[in-house]
Amino acid sequence: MSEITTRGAKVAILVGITLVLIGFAFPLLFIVNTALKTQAGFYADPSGITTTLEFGNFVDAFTQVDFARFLLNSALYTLVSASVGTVASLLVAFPVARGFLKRSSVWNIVFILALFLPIALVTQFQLLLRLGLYNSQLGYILLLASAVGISPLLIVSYLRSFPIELDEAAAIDGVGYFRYLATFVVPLTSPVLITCFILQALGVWNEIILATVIFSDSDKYPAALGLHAFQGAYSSQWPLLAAATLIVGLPIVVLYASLQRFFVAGALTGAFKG
Amino acid sequence: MSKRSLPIALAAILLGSVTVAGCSSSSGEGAAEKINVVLHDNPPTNKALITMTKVFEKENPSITVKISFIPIADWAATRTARLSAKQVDITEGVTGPGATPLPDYVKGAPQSVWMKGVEAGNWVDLSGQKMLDNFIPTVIAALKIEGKSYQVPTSLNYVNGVFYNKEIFAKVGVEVPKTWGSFKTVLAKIKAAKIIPISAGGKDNWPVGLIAIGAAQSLYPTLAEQQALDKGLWANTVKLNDEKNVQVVDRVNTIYQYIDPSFAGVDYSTAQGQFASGQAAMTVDGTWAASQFLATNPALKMGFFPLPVSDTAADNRLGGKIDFTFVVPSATKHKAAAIKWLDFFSQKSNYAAFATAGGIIPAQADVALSPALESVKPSLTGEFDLAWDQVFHSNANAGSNVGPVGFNYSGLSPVGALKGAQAAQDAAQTDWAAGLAK
Amino acid sequence: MRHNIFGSSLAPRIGFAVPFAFIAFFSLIPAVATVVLSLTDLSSEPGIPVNWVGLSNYVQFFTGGNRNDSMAALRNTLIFALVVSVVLNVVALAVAILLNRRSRFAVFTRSVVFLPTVLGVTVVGLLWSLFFNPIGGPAQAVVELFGVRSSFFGDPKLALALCIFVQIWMSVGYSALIYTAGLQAVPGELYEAASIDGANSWHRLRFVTIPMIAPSMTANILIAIIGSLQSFQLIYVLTGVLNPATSVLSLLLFKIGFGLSGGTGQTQGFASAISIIQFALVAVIALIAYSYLRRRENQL
Repeated sequence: MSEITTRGAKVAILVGITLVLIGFAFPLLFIVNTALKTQAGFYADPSGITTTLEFGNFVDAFTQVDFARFLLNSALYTLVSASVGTVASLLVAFPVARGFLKRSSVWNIVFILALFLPIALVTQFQLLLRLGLYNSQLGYILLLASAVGISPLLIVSYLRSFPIELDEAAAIDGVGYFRYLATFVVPLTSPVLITCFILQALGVWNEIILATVIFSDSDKYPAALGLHAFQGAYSSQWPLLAAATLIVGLPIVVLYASLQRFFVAGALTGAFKG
Repeated sequence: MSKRSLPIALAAILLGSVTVAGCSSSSGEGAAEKINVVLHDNPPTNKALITMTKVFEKENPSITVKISFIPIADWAATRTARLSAKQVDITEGVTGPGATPLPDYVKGAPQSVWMKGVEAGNWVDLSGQKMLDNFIPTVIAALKIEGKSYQVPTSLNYVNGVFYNKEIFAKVGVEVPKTWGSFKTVLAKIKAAKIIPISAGGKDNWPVGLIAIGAAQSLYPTLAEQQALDKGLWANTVKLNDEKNVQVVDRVNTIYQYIDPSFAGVDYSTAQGQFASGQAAMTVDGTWAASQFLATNPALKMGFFPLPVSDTAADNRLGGKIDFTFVVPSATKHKAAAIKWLDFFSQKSNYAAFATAGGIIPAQADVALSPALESVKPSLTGEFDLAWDQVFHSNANAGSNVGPVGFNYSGLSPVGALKGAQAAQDAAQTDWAAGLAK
Repeated sequence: MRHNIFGSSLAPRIGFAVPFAFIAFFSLIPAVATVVLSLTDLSSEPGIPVNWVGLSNYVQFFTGGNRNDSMAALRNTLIFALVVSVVLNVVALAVAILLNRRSRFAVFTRSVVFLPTVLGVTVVGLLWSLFFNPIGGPAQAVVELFGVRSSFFGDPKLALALCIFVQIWMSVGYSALIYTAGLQAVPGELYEAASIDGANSWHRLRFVTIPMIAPSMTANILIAIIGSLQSFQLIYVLTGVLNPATSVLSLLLFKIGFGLSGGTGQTQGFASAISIIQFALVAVIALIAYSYLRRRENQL
């Protein structure tokens, strides 16, 4: 971006950034504040700054529900589903982008339709049931991995921006198809693959409805549903709820902070060539 | 409209050409049997059932019982899913108008899912089981379908009660109201004393429905009058926006003005907490809540009276319902063990312990009332009248303005967007008329 | 069909067929089967006979006694999707431009803005339920300064607006990330050239930035439209399924399909019909938006 020169503009930008920071950080800090209150302290002054440091809330929340297990479940569901989904997207997108299949354009339309499929909660539930995969982590992962959404489309349009000569040069070298995909295409398309992975991972991470319907054992719940169930059981005990929220949220924040360079904008450059 | 049965066609579509055996089998036969009980979450009865089950397991070492208590918000979805997956041996049945076949005068409304299930043979016929004899005969009779019993009742409860804080009443200087006029005076005085007169959980919707049921109960105080209203509505000779029906909602509207002004966003347990902690002088709740209030605040000095919406004191009577029941799905692989557990539950001494700990109105005769219900005792008359929503056959094909009660408490401001009783009941009548058979 | 440079055409075909079959089996076929279910009266409880009922579920949706509920859900869905898509993109673009600098402060703020997205829907839902808690929440404390009390998510005039707000708050981070990627790909020389030509900052935004990031804009708007037309997890967490003021189509079908309508006679067949109606709605809107955005991209 062009450099800003005037002093007034600099101040305006600084104020702007500060406002954005407050808008996003304040609600997050408020929940920390609530988590440190006692139940009585919360009733006395629900929105004031806490006068206690009630770490017992965290102990209580942790002893009542196994949040560590929920978090591990979520990590498993998210990593496996998004990885399988991304690989599957690449595998279906590459031959379509390169025109290796009959009627590539038809397949492209199928990808577009797949984008906004009707919500198939009822049928997916029945499908898992009949496959003997009710209340199974595998079944849940399979359903979520197959929900590739926009990914094949993104990959097709990204691949089309690369010259086909690259493929041909590789073919002359006598590299096999899958080897070629793994060693040439994956690195070339890594920005769009990371985008697809993140998109799908966010979808899995936030899923609670399918999990409500599919799992009968609460120890298979993902973190989002575990926390939701906890909220159902302790709906008015806000300090306890806030502590539970932080127990679920903190590991994510730490993980995110340490993996941030993978999220940085650079990785996404050019992923949206249209 | 062709009415061919099609489960096979469906299965073919769902599975494509793949055939897979459902292999989510449970424990092996013989040695240890495990039964799954799936119930809605209600802390006092949860505890009582867990305690009882521990004794049961000790006496029947070959049977282990896993009880899941599902939060209300997820209850219906979870029950559906568990039944479909055949991973439940005992769950809850249905009471109220959906428990028995629709009467002749109800035309064009679908049968309840429960009735369809009974007709399809989804539930184990418990007729002739000895345990049923332990319960009050009229309760068992009320649940019978064509002479057969499928449900084991757990409890009765009254729904249109007002719990009040005796200390606040004394401080403000008001007496227990017997009529609508005196109730309004009490409400006004408490409000003038800068205390929240009533707490209610509008966010969860059904808790404010209790107010509407109570209003209908007072203004249609006898079973005959309630049945006449039900019939008249289905015959389209009585309208939901007739003067008297608007009056019912108008009184609900008056009560709304005295609830904590933000009640539409408050959930049920917060509203209970407001009353139990002494922030609100009263709350409209069922008798099942009494033990919860005392558990939250053992020092609470509370009393109880029927919601007085009628100007005639005698018409302000309690109305109740048969509370949750146990049923056994036919798909169970552990029928004998499931019935054994139900039988154990029904035995006089076990049931008495459950009633005491659970703080419910017993469905067996000669069982002592739980100490938690001490406040309720003076209001009990020895008769058990059904509440309006247990008599009224609502229509699933009519919208949420009709709802389960017919009196549009959820469309009425501030819970809904309709201002005033007339607008709320006009909307209800429009929906009701649209849902009637043409 | 293009000549396959890898010799045998078998490898790409297998490579395509296996994952496609997987996606089809678990996602496409259940979606198509929903059409079939929508023509039946499949019950939410198992073991109950199923009958063909033709189009009566659709007729019921548009003309039955519950049409007020159906139409309210339809209206809420459209309002929710429209407002979220427009406001989210404006805010996200503004935030992306504001934070597209190298200072540590800007980089740190960028990561904080993205946090709600990674924290997930229940954490965000709880956070704002606490914030807008009618009994003593901080928002109530502010409102009380003006002498009123609000029930926030319980207020039928306010509930949908608050859900929209929280949805946008949660999604800004991701949208801004996509815009940031687009912005960083814009060559700096373009701005210099524009400055020499005497362009002010509005002109630079209108004639340099926006045309250059048009592809990110297309992607962002499409993701927002499809996502918000189908999204209901956040509303589910914030207000539950029973609040008519925030009932959207996907929430309505969950409520009916899994028996939350109070064990009445409504069926999973009816829920499936709602699902198909929603599909038609999303398809029409998304395709119109897509073709418009692509045309615009080429014109800019």
